[in-house]
Amino acid sequence: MISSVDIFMGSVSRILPELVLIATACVQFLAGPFLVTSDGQAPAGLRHRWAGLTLTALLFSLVLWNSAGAPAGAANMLYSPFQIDGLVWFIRGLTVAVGIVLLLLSWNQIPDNLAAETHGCLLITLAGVSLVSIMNDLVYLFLALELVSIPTYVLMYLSRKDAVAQEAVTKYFLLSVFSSALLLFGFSYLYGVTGSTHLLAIQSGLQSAGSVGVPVVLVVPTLLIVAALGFRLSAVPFHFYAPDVFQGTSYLGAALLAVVPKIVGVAAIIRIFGLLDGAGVLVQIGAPALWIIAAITMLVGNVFALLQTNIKRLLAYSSIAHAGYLLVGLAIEQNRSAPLAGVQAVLFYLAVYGAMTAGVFAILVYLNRADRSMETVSDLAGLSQTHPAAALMTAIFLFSLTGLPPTAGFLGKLNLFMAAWSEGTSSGRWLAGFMAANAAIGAWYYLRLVATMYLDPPAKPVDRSYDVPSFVGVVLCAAAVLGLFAVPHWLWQWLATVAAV
Amino acid sequence: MSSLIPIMIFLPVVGAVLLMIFRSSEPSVSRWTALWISLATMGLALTLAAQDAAVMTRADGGYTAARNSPVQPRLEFRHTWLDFSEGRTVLDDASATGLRTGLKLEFYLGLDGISVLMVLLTTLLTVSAILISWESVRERVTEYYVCLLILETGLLGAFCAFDLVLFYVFFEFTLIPLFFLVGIWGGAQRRYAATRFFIYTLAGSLVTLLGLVMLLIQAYTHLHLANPFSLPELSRALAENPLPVSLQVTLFLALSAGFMIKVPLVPFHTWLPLAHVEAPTAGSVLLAGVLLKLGTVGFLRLALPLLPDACIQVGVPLIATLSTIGIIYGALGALAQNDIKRLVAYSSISHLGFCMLGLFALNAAGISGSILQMLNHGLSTGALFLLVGMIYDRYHTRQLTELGGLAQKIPLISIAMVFICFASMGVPGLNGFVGEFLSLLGMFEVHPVYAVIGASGVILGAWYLLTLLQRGFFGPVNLPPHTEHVPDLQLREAIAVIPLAILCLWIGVYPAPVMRTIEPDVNGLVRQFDRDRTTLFESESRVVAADHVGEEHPIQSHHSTASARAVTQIPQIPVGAVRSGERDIVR
Repeated sequence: MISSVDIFMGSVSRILPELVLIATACVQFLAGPFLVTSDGQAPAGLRHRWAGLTLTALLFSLVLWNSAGAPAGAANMLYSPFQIDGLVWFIRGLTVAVGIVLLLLSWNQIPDNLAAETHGCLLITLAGVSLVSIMNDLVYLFLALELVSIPTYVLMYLSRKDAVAQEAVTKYFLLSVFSSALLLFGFSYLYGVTGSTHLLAIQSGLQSAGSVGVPVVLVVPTLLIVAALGFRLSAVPFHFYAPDVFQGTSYLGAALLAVVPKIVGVAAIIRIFGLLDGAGVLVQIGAPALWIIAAITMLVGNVFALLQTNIKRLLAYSSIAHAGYLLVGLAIEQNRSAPLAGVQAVLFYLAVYGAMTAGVFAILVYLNRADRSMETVSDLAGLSQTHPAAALMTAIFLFSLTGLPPTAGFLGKLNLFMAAWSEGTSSGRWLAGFMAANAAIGAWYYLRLVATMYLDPPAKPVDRSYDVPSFVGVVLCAAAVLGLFAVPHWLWQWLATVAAV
Repeated sequence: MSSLIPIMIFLPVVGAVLLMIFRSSEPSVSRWTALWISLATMGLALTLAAQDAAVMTRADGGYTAARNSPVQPRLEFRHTWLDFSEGRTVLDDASATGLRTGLKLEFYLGLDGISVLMVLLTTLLTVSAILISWESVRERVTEYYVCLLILETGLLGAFCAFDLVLFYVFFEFTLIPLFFLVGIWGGAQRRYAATRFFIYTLAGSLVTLLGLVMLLIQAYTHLHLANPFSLPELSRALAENPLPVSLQVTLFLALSAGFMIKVPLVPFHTWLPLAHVEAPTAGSVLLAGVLLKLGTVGFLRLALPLLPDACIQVGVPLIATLSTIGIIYGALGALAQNDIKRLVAYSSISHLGFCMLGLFALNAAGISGSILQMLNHGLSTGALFLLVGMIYDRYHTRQLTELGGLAQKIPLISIAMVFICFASMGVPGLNGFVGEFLSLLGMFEVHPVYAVIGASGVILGAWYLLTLLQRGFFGPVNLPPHTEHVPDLQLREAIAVIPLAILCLWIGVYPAPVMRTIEPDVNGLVRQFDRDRTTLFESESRVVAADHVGEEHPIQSHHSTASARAVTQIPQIPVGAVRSGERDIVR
């Protein structure tokens, strides 16, 4: 007989990396106010110390991630709300990596007196992302999702405080709360049908029901869940907030919104629909919906991106288009005898997407100065002559977003193509073809950015930028984008455990 | 394993990275560095060619005996890139077939006769391109040479890739440096030309990528092939068990989408004249000389060995028709041009028409003529663009209405121009004749109509090139106003162009070494199209497969006799045929 203490300790040991992040955030929230004077002044350079602490926490959780041993089997899963498998391993590592880049990006972007709160919010958000993949229970899963959302609102507001930003935050807040409500509504159906909130119990309950036929009552919760998570992924038609919010918030906020909710959405869809456990009943209903959403999302994202002149809006539509690519891998049937599972392709693409998108935002942070704002595409003109290294790395990110070799974006798209094609049904093949057409459309606006940087003369003389942390972030992302192309094995060995049959 | 191949391929890009890191404010440092790197690459290429020749002439005949696949490199380098099967040891129906281990991508580089020729051409033309840009490129010099060197790596990689995905990677990668070369250092409309070239070719090659994925998944799931990405293994498996014809046709059309644009065949050629006119001289040299060959090599490497039935069913009616139209259209287009560079660009379309026509003769004479024509076109059109660049550097115009009697002003350049024009129009004794003759001969054996129409392109070729010579170089002197005295051919320019001219003459007089190099590869390909496969493939399963295919496609029968005869003809063709040929065209 397992005692409750054993369960508790066993559970806690499974989420040590996340606990490290949350504990550090608590320290920052509690100690932060005491280091700031009553009129809001902080000693100069305080942000370096808080950022240093945050970096230490992230690295420490990375060490724990690496030393905690291999993912456990399914034993004792039913006792614990925490499920540790290959997916957790992957999402956790990706979260910390993304967190390090976001930290480097925010390092000099926030005032000294707000550094503690901003970094605390960042850490909690990251812990939440990781927990989404771990949670084995609908209620906990919802809590983890909120753990991502709530600090995000604060962080967006802290990093930029003008009227535009307030509007953006409010818009994001209202829609996010709305999507949470949809999700809860959907969850309540699942509980009502199966009588359990535990995901494994729900899966087995639905499986036995599914042998009779797909219960019609499951259509509503499936669609509600797809809608709610589609909001996180900024999938059409739940994407309307993205361009306005991206434009209105700071680069840090936009980078966070571009990357983190995508990870959350993908992990939550994989977990709730049980994509790792073969075709569940929910997938049978959800897959067609995801298929349609994937197709529309790719098209809308790419076509609207063609029309943009504001960089952040362009990147918002680009992130919508990439949400469509991600959904391709989730919408196809997870065929186990296929050479390449859709989930693996999606997760690989997710990592690549994180690196290249965070890299683009890091570049914008690096280049953005009070006297030289990076708002419109034409602000990039002549970058190759004023900032050759930055222009080169931007070009690498943009070619990766286009999906050209020698960047990881090419391998990511290739994997998705192969997964969609090897699924073996015509719907997957149509999706692959549609994705190829969209990649060609997407090439146009990324190429326009490259052409502006390299082909146009510099608009105005500018000083060189010396923001070291964001430049380090850029270099890390560029190394990841090129490295994942040359040595994809480095990432794939973790993906192999995700879809191990 | 020959690790010299990756060293050769990546040497230019390593050099480019070094150039970028140690950016020198002195342009001559970049120039000399780029020149030395490209010379070193050429040295490595020559070493590899020597190794390749040694493998071929090995006393025990080891290579020929061990050859068992339509496409097979003689030197190779393999390194696992991404193993999709990792962690998936047990697959659902592994027990049924016992073969499937999963997909993996490989850095599978190799050299066969075709790649040896193309690699030598690429390294040679890169050296010429660097030399010709020595003084004409004055801004952003370091970046310029970085682009040239990166382009060289992409081209070398594409010719040496024996993994399907790796081939596509290099194929697509070449877009990036060329985009910058045209876009930054091009003419007035450079931005439009570069963007159009990029998007146009990218859209085509994405369809090619889909076709590749289709093919690979098909090979994996239905042929239970352990490693479908490897071209030799895949081509061997497909020779034993060909895909259904309807599927082959679909795959052929998908794969051709990218290649037809790259070649370019006629309805898809519109990007080419624009890109050529706007590109800097070195960009044009590499674009025409080497980059277009990626399209023909794509057909040669992928379509012919993997989809033989589709090549017969679709290749001849579709590709040969388009090539024939291209020969005539390109020639007429060239005839109508006033801009010399545009004229040469249209002549490229015409010449590559011969190349594709020979390829889809699907017999030994046609295919070897086609490969030779790739080499010839690279040499002669590359040299033509070099010479046009030299003229433009001197007079800052390329319009024939503003130029005339150049032979009196710059005699050495004019001599070179006459020589190269003769090579390009196929005067017997020079290289163009051998390639065009073999291509047309091959096509004549199977479809005389195409060959006859195509042959009229030779006459048109003589027409537009002689018109060019007459208007620009002979007749009364006509120079743009305010032209000062200009120097004639300089030593640097001579070094760039004379090796090409020597090779033109050499191949024209004595093409046997080139023919010997490609002979095993051509024979390997041609076997696909022989009805009588049993004599070539010993094993019983192959016999069954071959009979099966033979019954399905009676159309193949007439290819066999043609190729059988053509094989025996190859060694004697060059010198003997040159004498008896189409001398009247010259007059």
